[in-house]
Amino acid sequence: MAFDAQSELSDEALLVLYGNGDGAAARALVTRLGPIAYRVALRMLNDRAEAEDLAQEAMLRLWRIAPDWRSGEAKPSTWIYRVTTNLATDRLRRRRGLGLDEAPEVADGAASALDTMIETDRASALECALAQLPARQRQAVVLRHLEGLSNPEIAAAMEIGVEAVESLTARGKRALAALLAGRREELGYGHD
Amino acid sequence: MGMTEMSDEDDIRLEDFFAQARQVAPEPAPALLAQMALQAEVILAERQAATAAARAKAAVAPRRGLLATLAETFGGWRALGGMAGGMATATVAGLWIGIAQAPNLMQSAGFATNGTSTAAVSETSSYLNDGDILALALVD
Repeated sequence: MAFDAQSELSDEALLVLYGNGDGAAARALVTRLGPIAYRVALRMLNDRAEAEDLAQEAMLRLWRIAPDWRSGEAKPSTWIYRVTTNLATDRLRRRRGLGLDEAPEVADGAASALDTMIETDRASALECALAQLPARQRQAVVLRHLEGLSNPEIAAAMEIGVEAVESLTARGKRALAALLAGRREELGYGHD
Repeated sequence: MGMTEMSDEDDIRLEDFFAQARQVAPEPAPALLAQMALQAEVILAERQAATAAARAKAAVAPRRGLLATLAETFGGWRALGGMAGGMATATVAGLWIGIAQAPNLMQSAGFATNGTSTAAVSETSSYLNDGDILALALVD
């Protein structure tokens, strides 16, 4: 099927087509879901090379699951959000060697770099502050406030309840606000 | 201010950070997307090769499988050979019984009172002499 003819098809229809052997459907899915996987991976990991590697891994898993995709269970985009953020969370856990909801640790260097960035580049400052959140809080905040997903969509992606999503995003936002306002003492690791 | 509270001012300020970050959303390099599409092609080719191999195997397997299943069902190839011989024996025996009993049956049915019928029976019997009938009966 021609690429143009697939522009009107849903992600799920494209995935089913690919599962049935249509390579062009996969190319259409790459243009739709590939950027999501990369963007979320980068926002979670804050490392371009690692984000590229992780996004490829997430898409590879999508290709492998395509023949067994069960219609109506989840949207492919939700599936990509779930797999990408879960893979990223695993990497963050290994990187930090901490439990998911343990208190964030901020190195002195990172804190002072953040202070500088707040004044010059808000987007970079936010990235730096996000990197200091516990993984699950970061996951929820990224999906809610940067990807624009609804709480039920985030709940589906994170495989938790909506209330848990609300709790994670609220805690994450409080921590971010404190970090970006230079009130790190509120988080238990104030200035020296 | 404690961790459990967040002022409206904080909320608004934080939203400014989010808004700017959304505007500068990171875009993947074209090479990354090309790599993703290539992976899809590779996975598809692998799957199609596996399917073709499975079909080729399935196309051969039923012929062997059917004969093997029959053989197993009846106790092996020797049993199938024996069964063929047994069936031949049973067929010949049936033929013999039919021919041997025909005159008696016809007589007991009353055909023997009619001279024509008796002649017909004799004619039927004459198609096979005693030696042929004995030979058929002994065929195994």
